[in-house]
Amino acid sequence: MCYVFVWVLAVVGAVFEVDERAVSREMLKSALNSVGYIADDALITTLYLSLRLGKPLLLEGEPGCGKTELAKSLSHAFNRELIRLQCYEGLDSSSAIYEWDYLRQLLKIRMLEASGSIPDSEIFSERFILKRPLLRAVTHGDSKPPVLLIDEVDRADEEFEGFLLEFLAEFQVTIPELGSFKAKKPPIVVITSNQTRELGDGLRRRCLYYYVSFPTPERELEILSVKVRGLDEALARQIVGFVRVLREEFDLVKKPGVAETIDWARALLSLDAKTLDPQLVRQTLSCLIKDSSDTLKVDGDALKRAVENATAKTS
Amino acid sequence: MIASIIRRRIAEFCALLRANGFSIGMSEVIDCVSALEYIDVLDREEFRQTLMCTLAKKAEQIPLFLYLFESFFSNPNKENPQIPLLNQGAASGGAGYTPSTLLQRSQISAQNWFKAYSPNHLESERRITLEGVKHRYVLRRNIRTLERAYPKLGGRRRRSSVKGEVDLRSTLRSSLRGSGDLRSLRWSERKPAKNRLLVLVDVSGSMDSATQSLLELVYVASNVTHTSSVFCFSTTIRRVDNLIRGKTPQEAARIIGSQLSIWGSGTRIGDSLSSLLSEFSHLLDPSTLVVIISDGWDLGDVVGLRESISEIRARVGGILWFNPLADTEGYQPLTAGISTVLPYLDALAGLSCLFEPRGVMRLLAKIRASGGV
Repeated sequence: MCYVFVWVLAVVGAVFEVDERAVSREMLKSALNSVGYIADDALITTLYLSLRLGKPLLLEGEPGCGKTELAKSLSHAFNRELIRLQCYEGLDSSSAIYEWDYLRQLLKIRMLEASGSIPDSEIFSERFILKRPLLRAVTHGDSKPPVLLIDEVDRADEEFEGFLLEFLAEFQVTIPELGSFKAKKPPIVVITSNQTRELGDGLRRRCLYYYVSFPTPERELEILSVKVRGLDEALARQIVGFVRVLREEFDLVKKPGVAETIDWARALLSLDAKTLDPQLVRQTLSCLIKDSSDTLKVDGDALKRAVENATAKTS
Repeated sequence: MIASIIRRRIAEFCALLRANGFSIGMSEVIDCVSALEYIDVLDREEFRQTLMCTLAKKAEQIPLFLYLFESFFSNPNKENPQIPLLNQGAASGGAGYTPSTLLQRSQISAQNWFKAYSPNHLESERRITLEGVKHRYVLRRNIRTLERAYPKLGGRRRRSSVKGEVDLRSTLRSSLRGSGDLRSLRWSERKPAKNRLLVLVDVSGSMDSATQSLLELVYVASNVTHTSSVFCFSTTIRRVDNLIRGKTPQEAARIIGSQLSIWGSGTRIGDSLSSLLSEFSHLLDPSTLVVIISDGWDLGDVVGLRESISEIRARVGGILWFNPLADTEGYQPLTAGISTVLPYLDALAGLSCLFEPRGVMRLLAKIRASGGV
């Protein structure tokens, strides 16, 4: 028993402490599998090349298909800190890089004045900086570089996208009062976009590109078996079949992604469902359909036919 | 070390991609060759994925990339494989092409690469021309120009300036940088906001000759900026941006084909604008720039058209009208529809403005020169 435990520790240690830039594709795949991320070979190849070449990985695709989850899984798999920059309209460099901690600076000035000293350059030292994600990513002291997730970059303004070009080229941040900070080891950068607007060519050129599409039924079944423990296999097949029918046969504004499939499977599991029927599907459809016009499309006879199609295909 | 023959093939393949509208610089080629060092080049799937992730950087390029890859690398024994050069204009430098030549090429090209929507034959296959890749890039730039360069209101964000209002925060920071005394004032002004584009595309039967351009326009305007609203109108008006935003061109064409039944019918511009006012009035405010693409042949009520356009003009920041007929020499805006709306427009221009490099910049310069803005 004791030997087995030591062997497991050794194997786990060998996988998790290895330099992520030197892993093989098989190790990368098994490391991601071990943290519950099932990726297809094309994505693994792209991610592997991104790590080997030290280039950011740009992921585009439908929402809910696992773009953000990949960065999280990567950080878990390699035991790295995940630094997340959530983009939004109006995001500026002070929210992304650093801000001076004015309150502390003023307090320090008051203290110095009270003691008869004059404020000196210490006021503008690293102590008084509030580090935001990009600065944190380049000043990471650990020997293991963090995973930097720049999430939904399409929501940020084009000015910010322009700023990112410089950052991604040099992995360097300049603070006028203190000088430049350059990452000793560049972080692993994953950028995601939901395509709400077109990204500039400059950003695309600096990254390796992968389009995350809906998974094949077999892959989705595999994901369900990992993510939703205790789900009956027959029911899982019906779930995957029904979601596939929704994606392919209905013109939905928002097609259900993998995240919705997982949510729905969990909902059905909590309801102790054994098989799909139109009434059960109608009651739980809110897990899959996220647009009011789609709700009208998937109703009545159309819903009944879709359930019958899904169950017939799987049986 | 990658064998020289593979490097040469990669260089040839990159040239083929460039000739078909892919934007590939030296950095992409270097990335690609460097990436090949880490994979098994004899594994076809791995090899293809490596080339794809380093050379194709847009979702819409992927089907074309896969086609070209299969064509190019399926002829390993031929010295000069017979790959169709799909965009002769781009291959020869792409200079000097005009919208009319693009449209002409799209009509004479026979290759059937993609299934897409045909407004007149909903079930037939229609090719999205490969010239469209270049086409789309120019169109995208022009729409972004409209969004940014057209005169607009001040936004809520501020930027430093030499006049405007005193910026207390910046003043404090600059004084702290010195001895802490207030030495000089810093100023800021409102940063100009981007226009919110509201694009109205006439898809009536009289616009059939420009169908390909209109499809491109609808697709690009819906996707280039997330604040734009795109409507198609003929006898009635339908919003389309929410249907096709974030979709690939093929998906977008399929959705338009299946859901936009108004394509190719008659024209009632006044009624359509009236519906816009009643149903989407929240989209009309001073930050909105209305862009109308229509030939102005209206079969509806002229009085209603005048009332609607005057009300829209009062609410929005500007109205630009692009008319495909205005591209022809000697065009005069004499039809009832155009002559009715003309007093309310900031500019009336040919549709080619949107499809020519820097076409919109030149138009805006003309408007400024004439004192229109």
